[in-house]
Amino acid sequence: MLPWSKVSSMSKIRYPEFTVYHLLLNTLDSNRDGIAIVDAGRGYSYAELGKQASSLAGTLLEQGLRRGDRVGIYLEKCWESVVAILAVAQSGGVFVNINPLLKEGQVHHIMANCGVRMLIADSAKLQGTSLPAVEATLCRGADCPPLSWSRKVMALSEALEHATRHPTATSAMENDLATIIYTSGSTGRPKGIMWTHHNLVAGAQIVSTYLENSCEDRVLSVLPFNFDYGLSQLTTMVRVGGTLVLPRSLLPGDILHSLRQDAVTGLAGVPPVWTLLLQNRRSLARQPLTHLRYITNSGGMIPGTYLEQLRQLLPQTKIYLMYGLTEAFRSTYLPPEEVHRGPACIGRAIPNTDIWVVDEEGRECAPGEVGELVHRGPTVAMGYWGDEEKTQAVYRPNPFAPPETREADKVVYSGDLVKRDEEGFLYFVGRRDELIKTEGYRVSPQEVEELLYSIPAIHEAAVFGEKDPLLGQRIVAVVSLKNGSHCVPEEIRELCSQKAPHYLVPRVIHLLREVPKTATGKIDRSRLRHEYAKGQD
Amino acid sequence: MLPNKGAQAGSTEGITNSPKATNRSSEVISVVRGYIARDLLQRIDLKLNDTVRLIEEGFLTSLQTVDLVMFLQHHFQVEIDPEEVNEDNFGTLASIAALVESKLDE
Repeated sequence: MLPWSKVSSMSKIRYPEFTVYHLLLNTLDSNRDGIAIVDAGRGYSYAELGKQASSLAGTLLEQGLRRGDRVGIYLEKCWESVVAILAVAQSGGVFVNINPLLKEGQVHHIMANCGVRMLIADSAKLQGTSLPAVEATLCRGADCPPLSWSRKVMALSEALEHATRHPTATSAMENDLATIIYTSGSTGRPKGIMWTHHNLVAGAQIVSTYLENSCEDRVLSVLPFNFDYGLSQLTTMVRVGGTLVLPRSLLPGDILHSLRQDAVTGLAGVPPVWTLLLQNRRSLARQPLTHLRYITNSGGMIPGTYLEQLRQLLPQTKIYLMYGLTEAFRSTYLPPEEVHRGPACIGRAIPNTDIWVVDEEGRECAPGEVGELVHRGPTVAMGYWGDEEKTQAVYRPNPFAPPETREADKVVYSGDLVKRDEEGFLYFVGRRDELIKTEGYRVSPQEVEELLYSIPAIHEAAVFGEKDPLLGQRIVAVVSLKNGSHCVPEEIRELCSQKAPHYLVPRVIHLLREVPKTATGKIDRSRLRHEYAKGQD
Repeated sequence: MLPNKGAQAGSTEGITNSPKATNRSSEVISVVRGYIARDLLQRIDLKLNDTVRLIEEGFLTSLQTVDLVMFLQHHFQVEIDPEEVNEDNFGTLASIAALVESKLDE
């Protein structure tokens, strides 16, 4: 039997989930007084979220925002940054989350690239900047600086309390652009990926279904909102009426404090997040996180040793290994009961999605054969903003559809190599353009990184290939050591040789203090290759 | 081959940021400032003010802060619990120095 409260909320008629605004509208109906956001120890209800988002949406419209206009959000992660996202979505505009760590040059690129018309930003970040011209800027915090490039400058705090004359409904429909997500590729400046409301809503529906999210969930938000995986915790919580907890910082003590203090039930991370969480291993062993219902990993393969430690230290927590790319949000997940299959296993297709493994001739691969992951489903985004050529290269006609529907049915070619086993589980092999061909072997950087991580002294590792006249390519590793550990490259090579065939052993090993990361915390393999590879290939 | 910076972790030579240091607090600050600028950021000319928000303003990542903790434990022979590695204690040079000093007094 379901408890009465659940039956009654289920029996309520929900709005059809067309846009992000409808997700909020439903929760305003079902869980109005529930806590939406915890920021700096204070809880904000859905009623407050709905009210302030409407006020801000009204202000944006009064300032002349038109349907489809881009609005930059350049804020530290905070209550106002959540209100801003929902307000822009409600107003019919397109929100463009800008990583708060970015500096003037990169912010300028994003704003100019997609033609940001209004900006919502922290005052402190705008001091002395020269950014592309905008219609209006809403500043958070005291001392809005004078901005020569902004026609109007207003205080965000006033806009949030503003009694609006505008209706609270939305002008957007599901095929409208909802957000542009900027992501770094292997070449050039960040590219904007265009997501519709339908993409965002479908993503929230799919993820909250397989994670079994409910209004009882309290999810810790450690990933930035400018990253699709980080935005997903917000959209899923708004959809189910759960709570999103914003941590004070990502320092190990603050993460653990939030997990305990707010009795967090879900945590989504990329591999470096587990490095930080596991600093607290003694505390976790002493006092287990009994509330933590699940954790998810995406954005890179979790090192096997971390996965083992997490399984031991969090015995009651379900671990979901997932795979996705911003061009199509999320492709696969491994059900927690299958996690013993190891860190390379990315599971099966998410609900309502086809995932194929395709060879170079465009045929589906047999089990065990390596091919490119191809994604078809409702989270396939619209393409790259202002880059038709790249869009056509990645978003291609469905090769398995009849000719009559092929063109209209766009799928994403991921550029990632995977293989499927006899049971249908998918395994990550590597980026197609990062695969190393050495001595006639095809070696994935991840395979060598796993080998390096099996050496206790190694803290982080990144592997790539560089040109070699004899080998084709030779394997280069950049590693950092755990503090207090000492190890020279010769010893690392020796330890690798004891565990693996010679063609997997790195020829060159660079020891660094820290392996460079991208702004979203992933190991920056392309930057490393650029900086350390002698012969580009 | 790049040198392993970790091999120099215990050394403080070459730090001249606070020539007028007269008390322990400014000495601690000067050591921490030197380690951040020289070893973690490899920006020797960076002048970090005692109250600049190290994490918020993007000078230090969380992982670099973990590295700094290891250095502090080794250099000052103190023990820092991972749960103490938070924004309150590691937000500024001044707060880091206060934490280290409290450990030295224990």
